Amino acid sequence: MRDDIIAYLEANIVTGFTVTDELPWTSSNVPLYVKNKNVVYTSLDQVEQEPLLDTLDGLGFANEVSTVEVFVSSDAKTIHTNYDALVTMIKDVNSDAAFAGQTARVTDIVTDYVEDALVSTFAISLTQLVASCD
Amino acid sequence: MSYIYPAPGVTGVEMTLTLTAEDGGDDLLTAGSGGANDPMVVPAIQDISMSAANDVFSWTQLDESAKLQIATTATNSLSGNLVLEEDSFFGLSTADGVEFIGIFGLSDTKRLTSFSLYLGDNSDGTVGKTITGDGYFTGLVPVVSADSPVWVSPFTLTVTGSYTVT
Repeated sequence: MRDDIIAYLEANIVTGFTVTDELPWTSSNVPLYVKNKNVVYTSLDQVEQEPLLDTLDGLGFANEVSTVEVFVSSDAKTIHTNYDALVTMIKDVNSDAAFAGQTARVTDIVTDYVEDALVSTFAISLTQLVASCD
Repeated sequence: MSYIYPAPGVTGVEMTLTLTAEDGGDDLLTAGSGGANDPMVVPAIQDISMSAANDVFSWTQLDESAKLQIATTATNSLSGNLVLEEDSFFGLSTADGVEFIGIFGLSDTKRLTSFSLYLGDNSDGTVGKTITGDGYFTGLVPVVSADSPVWVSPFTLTVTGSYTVT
C-alpha cells in the first residue's frame, strides 16, 4: 500500500512540493518532515484485522484495515500558495485505481504547529476483506 | 459430566449438518457428494438453533385455582445462518447433464430432505449425539452489504415429524 501511495503522490504532486520514499524517521529529536519543509513523507503500513464472521467449520472472515500516514510540513508564517491543492490531491488518493476492491476508504487530516512549521498528517485507511478459506 | 464442545475446523469433532435429498432420482446435492443421493455436509454454517417447541393445551377446572395444561404436538425446526458457498448452495451441472441442485434447489423445488445434525464431541472425549429427521428448506434470504461483503443467508429446515436422537 505504501508503494502505491508514493507512486500516486509522485504522479500527482503539486508545484512547490516534492515526494520522497524515505521513511519519516527522527534525527536529533526532529522528524525529517519538520526539518525538510515541503517534502512529503510516507510511513510504513500499519495493519489491523477486525473479526467479521466465523463459521462452525473453521472458516473465518476479517476486515483488514491498513493505515499509512503521510506527513508534510510547510512554513506556518506564510502558508504555501499550493497548500490547499496539496491537501486535495492527497485526499483524492482514495480514488486511485490502485485501491480498487477496497470496501472502505477513509482519510483523516490533522494539522499541528511545531515551532515555525505547519505540520499536516494524513492518515489514509483502506479496508479490505480477508478470508481464511480451506 | 460430558459437556458438548464442538471444535470448529476439527474433522470428526466439529458440529456438522449433513443433508440427503429424498425422492430425487438422479438429483444430487453437489458433484462432490459422489453418487446418487449421497449425503452432503453443509459448509460454512455460522450458527444453528434446534427448535422442539411443543404446543400446549390449557383448560380450567372448578376445583383448581390454576390452569391445567398438557403438551401436545411439537413444531420442530432447525434454523441458522450460513455463508454462501457457490457449489453447495446453487449446485452444479455436469457435462453428462446430471443436475446437482444444492441448498437453493432444495428450497426452490420444495424437495423433502433428510438431515443429520452432529452436535460435536463431548468434553470427556466421547462421540457426541446425532439428531436426524426429515424436513424442507425455507427462509433463505441471501444478503450482502458494503460493511460485510460476504454473502450470508439465514435458513430454516422445517421438520416434518419427530427428531431421532442417536
